[in-house]
Amino acid sequence: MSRRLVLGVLVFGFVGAVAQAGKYEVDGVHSAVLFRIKHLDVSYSYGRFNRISGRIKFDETKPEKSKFEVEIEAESIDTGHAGRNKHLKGPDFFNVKEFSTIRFKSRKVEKTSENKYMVTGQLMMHGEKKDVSCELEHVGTKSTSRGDKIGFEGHIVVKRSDFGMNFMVGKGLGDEVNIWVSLEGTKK
Amino acid sequence: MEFFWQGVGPGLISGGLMVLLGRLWRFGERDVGWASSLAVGVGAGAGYVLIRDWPGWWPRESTAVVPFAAVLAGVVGMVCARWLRGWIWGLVGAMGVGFGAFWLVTRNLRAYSWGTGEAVCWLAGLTFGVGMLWLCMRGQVGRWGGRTFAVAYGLFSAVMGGVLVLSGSAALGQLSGGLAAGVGGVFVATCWRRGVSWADGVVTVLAVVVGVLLACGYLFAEMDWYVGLMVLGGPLLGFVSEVAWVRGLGGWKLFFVRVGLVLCPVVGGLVLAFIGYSLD
Repeated sequence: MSRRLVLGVLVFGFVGAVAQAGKYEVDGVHSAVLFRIKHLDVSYSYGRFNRISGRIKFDETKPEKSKFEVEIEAESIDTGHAGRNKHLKGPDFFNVKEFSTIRFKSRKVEKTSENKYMVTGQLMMHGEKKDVSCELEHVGTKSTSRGDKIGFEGHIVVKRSDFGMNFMVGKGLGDEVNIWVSLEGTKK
Repeated sequence: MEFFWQGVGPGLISGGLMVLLGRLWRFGERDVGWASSLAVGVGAGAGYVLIRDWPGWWPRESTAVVPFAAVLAGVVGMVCARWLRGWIWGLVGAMGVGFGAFWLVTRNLRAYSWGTGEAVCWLAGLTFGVGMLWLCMRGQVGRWGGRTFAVAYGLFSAVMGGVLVLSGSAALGQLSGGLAAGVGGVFVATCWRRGVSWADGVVTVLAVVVGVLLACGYLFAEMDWYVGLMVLGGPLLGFVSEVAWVRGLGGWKLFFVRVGLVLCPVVGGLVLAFIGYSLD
């Protein structure tokens, strides 16, 4: 009887723990923020940010209680060309010495379909704050030898002019920037 | 076509304003000083709007301080040239506008990167730099006359624009080009008047805007310190033309020597910036 009770407590305890909101630290090594922008109206140029951090609070049963906070070091922009990176870091674009961090903080999380969530929040970039929405796919959750892991991926399109980045808009460089976000979190 | 207006627009605005003020006031030599100050300040400020966009009422980023600083320096220069003619007022006015501009330009650096001591040193150093620029330029505009001064510092601003472009910011370079066009516009509008002096009003605009652009280039773009010093060397080297045997050259020779002395260091800075750009 007592064995059954202990087993029952353990099973319910485990299920309860899984169902509970998990708090995760974004693993910068296994996360990525990629972007692309139209160049000369003929092709797309791609780039990425190499230093990402943040926190995820995820509750599958109550998605509205979930939270996403992501910070990106603007200085870590990397387009595979040193001269272009230097230009992008300067006052014409990100002005990284003045606005060093790109930050997203969610305000609302809604489940839209199986494993899909609409995350709405504030994106702060280049000193401007704008509300944006991004559909994130919950890629998976797993206990691994490196801890309990969770992963999300999403895509968003923003206009850089909305963030005061007007240099060469419509003069060889597009205004719309496609951004792909892939986050891996490690449970705290 | 847009690039054309961005290049010529500030000159048309400053020159047009100069002609308009001339018609309204029917001014003589004494009045040209305050009018040219206002015209160059408004021209340089309008250059920002033509090149970048309307900056919004409160400057959000460092480069957006440029149009406000230019117009305010134009007004302060106008007041000093018209009513407060003592050199000390001009110097205090330029340093005051410069300090205000640097305070805004460096606000994020002060908030997140610099300690109090570092911020005080930077603000004091930059404001002192504007004061030195003002003293150099004022000494020259009085001795050289408006035309030589306008050609020397119009070209100086244009070449400095090239330095800023090669230092990683096309926008800062364009704004320096806007300043050059503003000076050029007033030069064209006044060059037919013999014996006209720009007086010291316009010096306030030049000292403040050159100071702010160089500070932005160093602090936020990738301008190397030695390139910045080379650019600042132009106004200083201009004083070599006050040596007796150089002054003795007279006429066109003296004109070219003076313009050349101001341009030599900044062209040197352009070459160094180009070498640095090529090595990337």
